Amino acid sequence: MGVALLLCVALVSDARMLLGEIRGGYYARVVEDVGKVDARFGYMHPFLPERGEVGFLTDWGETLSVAVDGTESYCPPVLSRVPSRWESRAFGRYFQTQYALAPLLVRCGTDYPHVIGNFSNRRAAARRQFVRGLTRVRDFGDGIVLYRRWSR
Amino acid sequence: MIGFLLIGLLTPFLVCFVVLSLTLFPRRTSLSLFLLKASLSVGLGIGFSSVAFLLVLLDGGPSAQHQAWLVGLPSTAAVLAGIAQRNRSYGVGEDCPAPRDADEGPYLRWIGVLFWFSLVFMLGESLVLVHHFPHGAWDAWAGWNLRARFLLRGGENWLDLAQLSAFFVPWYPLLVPAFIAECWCFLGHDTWLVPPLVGLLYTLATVGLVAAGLTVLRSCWWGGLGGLVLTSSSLFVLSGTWQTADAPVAFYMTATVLCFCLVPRFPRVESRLVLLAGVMAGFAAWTKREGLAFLVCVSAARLLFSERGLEWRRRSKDLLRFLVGALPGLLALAAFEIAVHNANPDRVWKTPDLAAEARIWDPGRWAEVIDLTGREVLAFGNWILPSFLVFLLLIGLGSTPAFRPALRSMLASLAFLFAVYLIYFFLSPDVLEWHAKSTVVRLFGQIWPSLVFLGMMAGRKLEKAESGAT
Repeated sequence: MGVALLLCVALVSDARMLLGEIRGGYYARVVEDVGKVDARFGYMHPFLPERGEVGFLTDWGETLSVAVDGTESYCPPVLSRVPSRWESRAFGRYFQTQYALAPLLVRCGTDYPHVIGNFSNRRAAARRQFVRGLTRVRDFGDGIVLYRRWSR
Repeated sequence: MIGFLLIGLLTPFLVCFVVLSLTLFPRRTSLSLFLLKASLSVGLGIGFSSVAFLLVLLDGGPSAQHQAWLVGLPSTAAVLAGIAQRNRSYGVGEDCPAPRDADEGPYLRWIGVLFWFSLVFMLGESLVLVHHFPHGAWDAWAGWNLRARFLLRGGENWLDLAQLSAFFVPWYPLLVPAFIAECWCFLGHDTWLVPPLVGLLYTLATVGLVAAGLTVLRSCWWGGLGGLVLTSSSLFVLSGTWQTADAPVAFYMTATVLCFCLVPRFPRVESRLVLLAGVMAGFAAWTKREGLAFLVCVSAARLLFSERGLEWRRRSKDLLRFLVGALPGLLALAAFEIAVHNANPDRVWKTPDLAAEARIWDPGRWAEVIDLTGREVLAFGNWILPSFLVFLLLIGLGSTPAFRPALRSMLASLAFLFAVYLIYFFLSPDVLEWHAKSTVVRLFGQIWPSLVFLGMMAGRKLEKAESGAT
């Protein structure tokens, strides 16, 4: 009887897994499609140095800049509570940029010779045509823009 | 290019397989023993490769000369081990003091068919998921694969990763990223293909460990059932395709548990099996922080819960052997941590959490932790855990006496580890509900294969169970 029970649960579990994936269930919620963004950043590499730091800019608010500032702490305030969808997206953009541009170090802020803009969409990127102290070098599409700091 | 990848992948596996065959198990082999050795070789090969690649990195970064080293050195070691073992007779054809069960369980044929069906289903699903999400889950690309990119693309400046933001946990152990980077090195560039392949290898090897291990120690019936339970646990299957380090650490934990349980069956190679258990536990520590906690828990459990009446001196010797085995992983971990610290000595590793003490004495917090953890664990893998417990209750406990000390100490290790996880939740400053939903299931998933293995080992002999049930 025990064996039969275990077999039934195992089969139901397999079937639920299959149904879940057909509906794009659990997995789709925890996985982001970074491949597309990664490929887009691939075109940016020739414009960037081989190593060192680059700045980062996004349109998802100031929380990220505060959280990922120069004085990094192990558990920043923004991760100490349940991150909202808005915050998750801001972090997502930052993480995607770092992943795509490794081994460059991506820092929040604009005080760097090269600054990467990773915006929510093309329209948001167009609104940031002019950023104080920066010149737009190239728009790579999908809200990804490369800026350069004016030489002082 | 694919040829280079195959050389990079297969050389360590083959070398470990040869060494295991020569030094541990009988040369006259069965299919289950072959699968067991193959599964162990996957984890051993990846572990030793990552340690070797770390040495290459510390020597100034990968080069063509280093690639020749990475292939040539282990192959030479295997040949030398073969020569050394040629004229020795121990470990070959030893007696079995712990007899296996008879292969006559109920639904024997059906369980075999269902296991293979479930395995093929698991493989198919994994391939579909990899096709749709080649970069894996968030933690995979933003953590493990990112650091692998630093190791490959950074060249001699690979320690730039120490300057990464704390979100990317740059000080985290390197077993998985180092092996991925090594494969990329053989290929000449980074490709999405390698990380899912590594995840899949670990998942299959864990199933192999449980199914083949139970077949060797008990019977085909138990092996098939154990494999079936594992391949039907949705989160276990998913963790491989997520490409996080949960699948590798689960493998090393299971391998450690299995090696200790093999001792009563192969007593003449006891010291070598304990050493191998240590190697596996060391690699668990070199994979994830939880692996380090596991190593400490196993050490404590072996000291406290080994065979009754066994003198302390012998227990200490046993523990020492285990820790010597863990040295490759532990030394690699220490070397990496020192290198990262030297590369960024000003890093603030962790801000002091002054409220932690207050949380310990808060009974409401305890109740909340136990409630949330219990709910998440019970629902794990589509309620497979409660079903597994009911199965064990119905079939009854009553393992062969020879296995009991090993089972007791290994169950104690897992209990200690689970207690460590709970303490972590008590002290964590994060909101518990979010923490529980994002972490508990994954942590439990790491010890799930070991639990399945131990549960099946502890189950009563079939004939007795059947007569008891009727």
